[in-house]
Amino acid sequence: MGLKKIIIFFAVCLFAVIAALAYLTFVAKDCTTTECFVKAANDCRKAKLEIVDDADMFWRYRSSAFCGGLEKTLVFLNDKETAPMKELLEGKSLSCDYTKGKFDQRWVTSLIFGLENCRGELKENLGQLLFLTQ
Amino acid sequence: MDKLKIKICVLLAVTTLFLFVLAIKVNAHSGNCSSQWNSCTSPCTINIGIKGTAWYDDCMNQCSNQELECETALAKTATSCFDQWGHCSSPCNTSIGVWGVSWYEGCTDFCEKQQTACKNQTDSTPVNTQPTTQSTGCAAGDWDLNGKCLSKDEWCNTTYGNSHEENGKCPCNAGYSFLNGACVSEDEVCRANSANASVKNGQCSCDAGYGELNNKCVTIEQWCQATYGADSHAENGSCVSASQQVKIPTQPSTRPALKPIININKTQTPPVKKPPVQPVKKTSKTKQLSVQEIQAITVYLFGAMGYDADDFDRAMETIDEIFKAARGLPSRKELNERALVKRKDADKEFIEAARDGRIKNAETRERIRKMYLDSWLDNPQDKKADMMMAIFEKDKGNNDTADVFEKFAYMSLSQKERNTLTTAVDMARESMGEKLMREKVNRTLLQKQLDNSAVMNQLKQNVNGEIAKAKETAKDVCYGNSACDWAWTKKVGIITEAQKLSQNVRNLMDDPIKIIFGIDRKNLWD
Repeated sequence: MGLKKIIIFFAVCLFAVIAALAYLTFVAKDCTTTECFVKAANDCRKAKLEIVDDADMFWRYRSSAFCGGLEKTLVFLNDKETAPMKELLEGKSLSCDYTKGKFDQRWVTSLIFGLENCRGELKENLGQLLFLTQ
Repeated sequence: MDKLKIKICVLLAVTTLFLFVLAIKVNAHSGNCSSQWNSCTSPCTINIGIKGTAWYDDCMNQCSNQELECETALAKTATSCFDQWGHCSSPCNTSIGVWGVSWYEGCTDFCEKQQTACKNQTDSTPVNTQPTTQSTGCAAGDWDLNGKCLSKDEWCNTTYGNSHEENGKCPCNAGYSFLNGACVSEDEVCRANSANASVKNGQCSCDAGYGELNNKCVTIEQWCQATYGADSHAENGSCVSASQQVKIPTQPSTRPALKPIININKTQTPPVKKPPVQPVKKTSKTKQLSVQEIQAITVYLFGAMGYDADDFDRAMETIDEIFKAARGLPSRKELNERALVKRKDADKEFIEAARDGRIKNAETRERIRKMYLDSWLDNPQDKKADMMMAIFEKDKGNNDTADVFEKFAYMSLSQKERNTLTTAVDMARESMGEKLMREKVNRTLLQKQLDNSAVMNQLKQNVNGEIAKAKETAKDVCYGNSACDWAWTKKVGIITEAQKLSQNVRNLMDDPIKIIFGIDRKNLWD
């Protein structure tokens, strides 16, 4: 095997590694179910989930590659909500840190639970609304 | 050739490693950038990455929001402003902040409400009620009420109900007293004094089936246990214990104010034969919570609000261990007395350390925490010890433990204290609701708006779901157990969870906590 072939072999390997890293880093897995998203996030994959819940709230979840964190955004409320409620929640986000295998699925399945160690305006505003429940 | 291969391999490995590190750094959302206010840190590092990329902008936004939160939080918690009546404190200092900024406006609103409430409380009788009459054009002897001229008596009666004019003031009619801004019947005053009480023969007494204990009406079951010990209970009108049976007189005694209807005198009734031995129920019947009751609460505290099974099991083991120490000691009363002495020592040490600045030292705080813990181990129902433990544990970063202690603190409140807290929470809630809805709406309308919101309904479903899970988990220990007051535990759950999520809520709760627990969270050591 000549030197040229060896160089080509390693160049291909290097390219493969770079491609894999780039894929993991920049290409998000597009999930359509919470199960898919939770699994991908737990595996430290970059993933995205857009979902409308039972109350017609449109949510966007994004997990970063290498377990870089979760971003949860309440994109839209349903049309019947009052303007102040929309102003309070629409477009607001929170973010949470986690390590591999420790993704808290309540971040996706629940409105408020598991958010103690997260941060962001959405967390603050949900806390205020929770306080108003009776 | 081999050397060349090795060189290429090393080069490849180094390049790969570099790319990995770069990739991880690019996605880093950890690390801290300290804000200019020092005690708050932003959630991301902004000195890496490339300006203009999405993650970098996100990160910058997060930092910016976080710093704004820091500024607001620090400003709001800086000091408290005492109202002009000198004894109620508002939750925020209105001398700081900027007019027009939303938190400042909300704070001002709350201050005003708080001060009005203070004033209402301060006025034990409506002595300062003479309206301004001269400029309204009402005939002499009439007073103006919202543009309408009324006789003085009508004015008083309309404004306070059941009152009349006397020397320019509005004292309540006979049989009525001033309570919360209105003249109400003695029966209402009586009921406000304690649940399950009403006026009988002109006296405020406990209703049938209840007896007075520490100025509250408790069930006869609770009365028996408080009077004759943990092993007693009510049965067919008697207090029955393992060692004796004592009849409960059926005729209520007339007492000046909220005195016991039942009156047991051990020496008047000879002991009768013991009741047949009943199988031991899983519930314990002591006035103070028993081990089982504490476990029941713990089931709720850990089982509800999202703790997973592992947390719960660990908590149960810890509680078991803790109570093993308490079980061997002679009586709950003795333990409580001992706990109180220890807690007062801890309070004294805490106050002195705060005064001379030693409290800023972590070792001093740890020593004081141990003093409170020592007291708590003897009596986990001392509300102040509970709350101080919550504060110290939070300071140490043990948020879950702090959460449990805080819930214990609320669970340990008397009915009267629970009512006070509920009132304060309602007031804070109203202020927050108005602020969030961006308009002054009355309470009913606000509640209606919130009830119609799908978001609010989902929040309620979240909370109710957790409560239902906790009930299911705790159904055995809660069987026939008065400690499992689910309505109150739900309230406690909401209050503590909301505080964990929202700094604004935490700020609003500072004052009620100061009033009820005697702890000024705004001025600790931070």
